[in-house]
Amino acid sequence: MMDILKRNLEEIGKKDRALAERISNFNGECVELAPAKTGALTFRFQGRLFHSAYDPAKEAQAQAKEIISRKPDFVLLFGLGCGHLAAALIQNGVKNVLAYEPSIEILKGVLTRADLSTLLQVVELFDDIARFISRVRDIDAFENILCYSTDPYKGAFPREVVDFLNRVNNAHITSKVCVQTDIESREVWVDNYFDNIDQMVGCPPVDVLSGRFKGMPIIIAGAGPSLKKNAHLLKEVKGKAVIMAAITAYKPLLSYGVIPDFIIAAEKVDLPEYFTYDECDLKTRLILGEVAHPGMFGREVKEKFVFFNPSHALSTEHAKYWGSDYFPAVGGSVTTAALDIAVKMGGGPIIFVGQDLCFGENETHVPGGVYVSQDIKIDRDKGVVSIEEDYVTLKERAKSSHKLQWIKGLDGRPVPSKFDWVTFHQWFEDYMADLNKKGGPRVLNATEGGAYIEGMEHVTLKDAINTYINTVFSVDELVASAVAERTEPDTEGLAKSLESMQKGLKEMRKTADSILREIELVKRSVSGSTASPDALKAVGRIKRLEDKLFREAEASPFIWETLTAATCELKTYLKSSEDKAEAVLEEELKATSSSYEKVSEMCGRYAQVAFRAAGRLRGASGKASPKLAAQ
Amino acid sequence: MVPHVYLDGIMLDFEDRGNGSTIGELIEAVENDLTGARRFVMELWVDGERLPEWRGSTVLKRPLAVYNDFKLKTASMEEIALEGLDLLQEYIRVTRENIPVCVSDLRIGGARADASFSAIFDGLVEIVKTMDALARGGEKYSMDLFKENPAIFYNAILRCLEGMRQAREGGDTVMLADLLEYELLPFVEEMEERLFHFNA
Repeated sequence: MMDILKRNLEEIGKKDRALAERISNFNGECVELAPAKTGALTFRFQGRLFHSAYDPAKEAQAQAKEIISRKPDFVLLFGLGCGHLAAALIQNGVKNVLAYEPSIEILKGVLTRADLSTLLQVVELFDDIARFISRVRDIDAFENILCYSTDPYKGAFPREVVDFLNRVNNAHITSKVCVQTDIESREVWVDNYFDNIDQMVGCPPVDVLSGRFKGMPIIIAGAGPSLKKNAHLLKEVKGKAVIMAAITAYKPLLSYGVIPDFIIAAEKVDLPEYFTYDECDLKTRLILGEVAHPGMFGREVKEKFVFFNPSHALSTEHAKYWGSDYFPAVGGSVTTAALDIAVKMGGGPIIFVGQDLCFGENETHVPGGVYVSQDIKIDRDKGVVSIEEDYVTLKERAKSSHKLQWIKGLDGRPVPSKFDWVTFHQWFEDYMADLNKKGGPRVLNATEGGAYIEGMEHVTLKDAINTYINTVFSVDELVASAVAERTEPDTEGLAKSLESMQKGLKEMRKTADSILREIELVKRSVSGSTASPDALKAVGRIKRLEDKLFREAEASPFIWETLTAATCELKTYLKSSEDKAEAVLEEELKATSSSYEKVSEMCGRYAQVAFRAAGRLRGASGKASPKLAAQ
Repeated sequence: MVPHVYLDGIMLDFEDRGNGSTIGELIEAVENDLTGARRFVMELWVDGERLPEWRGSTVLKRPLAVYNDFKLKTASMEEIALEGLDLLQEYIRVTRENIPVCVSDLRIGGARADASFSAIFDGLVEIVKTMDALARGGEKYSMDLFKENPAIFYNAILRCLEGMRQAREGGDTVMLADLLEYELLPFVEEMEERLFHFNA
């Protein structure tokens, strides 16, 4: 039996050493396996039989047949059991099987008696739901995911199954939303970056604040509905804590007499309505994402800082020229970025307020911001939430509806939420798990309503203030000394990089045009699904040109980001054509041709954009830096 | 007015003295006369309308005097027994067919598992009731309706019903599916064989 366990653990350890160790170190009582009539193994847990006592393999085949009839790309099993179902799925050609086993008693019991070492080479095994969900998030949003749990697991772990399904659903929706966001935003982000280049010369990277606030409390204010319950307390902490607000929370905080030290914003669209255009703006600072709308870089505030996103190719390529090597972990909202930046600044504790991540009684945000009035209707039966709101800049009431999602609330009961908040919530929990593991600073959630965030300590703001906020310090002085030590950006290096990109993009355009000409040749010599020898030769040339194009793109990887929408369109097409018995060659050529037309167009366009940006940069390098201007 | 009474199309000379007789008394009187001929009343038509639930007390208590005519149709003991056997075989067939459907639903967590299990459970109860009625009737009228005495299966069926009830109440769907697939189904098939398949 020890040999069987050893073999299993060796196999598990190849992919997840920590899991192998957890299983190995478990000394509790394990389930006892017994042979079924066929000799295959089964067991009882909590009085229930988990596999047939007669023929577990036949039972698993029936389950596998049912699963396969739904044509999943990924099967996510809640419960590995003795592995019969996972084995049946693999036998029947399912390539991607992920199994989450909620019980270590079952897992160790099974691995002690059943040799699953061969199965575990192909099945991904998890015992930690957070890691499992993290893996689910890596699954391409275009893949079909099917969650499956056998009845005994549903009976023995009813709450865990519901939580599993909710979290998988939320994770996959997150992936889909991210793809949608990419489709809608990538090109705009690239455009914004190029537009912001000359303005960013005057904005120190947020790296300069690194470690400048060691052990000092940093309060991150979101604009959740509960902010109205405790925002008034923030006035008394001014000068004893750094207050960093999401842009949406800026005006609401002002209504409580609180001017935040920093406002963080990264929206791709301009948000002029969030500012006051008076002395309040001039007393605060902006921390802006490099791809924020250029209008945000034009706002008059005390100081502006910029942060670079790790997921933007231009940013990772150029950060060194900007004097930055720090890419904050970003979970889709500015408060997620704020958390990582606060950690980088050395803050401790970091205290959240207004981070509800769910609907309030009849609002999405705290009053005092950009929503004049809101009307929220939650239809639990249909699982839909409808929002009607008066937005300051709109003449008519805006209407929207969203799929209702649920997350755990502060009191343990589910609270109504929607996809974006759920995404941020998941990110916070993952981030906190990692931060706590690393022994990071204490993070308190002093949001007095809304979601419970695993890994944070949940307290009232009053208690947090009484316990942690008592020393006066000058944010202005600390920021000023940080900025004074800033390294000037290497504008010449940046300009050269942009000029090199321009050349590369021009080459790419030529190659894409050559591919298009070859596709035309293929099109002419194709009839139905039959290709002539000339067409086959042209296909060979296309492959070589594609290799060349991909090599050329290595110098300007950002170009793929501008093509996200076209790439997703092609992926969707290819996915749909998988089901067709015979792929129609002409249709495939049309789709490929359309993609390369887009590549050619984008390369041509961004070659010019890069060239102009380089020119502006050379012009801007003569301007005074903020450090000099401040002097 | 005296109601007319017809038995298998022939009008009976029937007198309702004092107008106080009930339908039940009429049937009893007729069946007493038929017993020797091993026949029973099977259908009752009142004023041209067939009463499907006429064996129920509400019908049997009604006075005869308020109706114009009664038509009674009879069947022989052998005809009734054959009809009962047909019914029993139909119950067994349907139950046998329901078992794999229910097993499949239980194995894959199908939504119809509860409904198909109820049909099996109710089917088994009806099988036992019908077998018992036929066995008693057969004994009373000296007819060999079954190859083997059905009473030998009662205990096994009851044990099976109890086992399934316990598995269901304990939420043990795997055990329930096992009982259905590997115990009840072969048992029902064997019972059918032993009850009905006479060697030529």
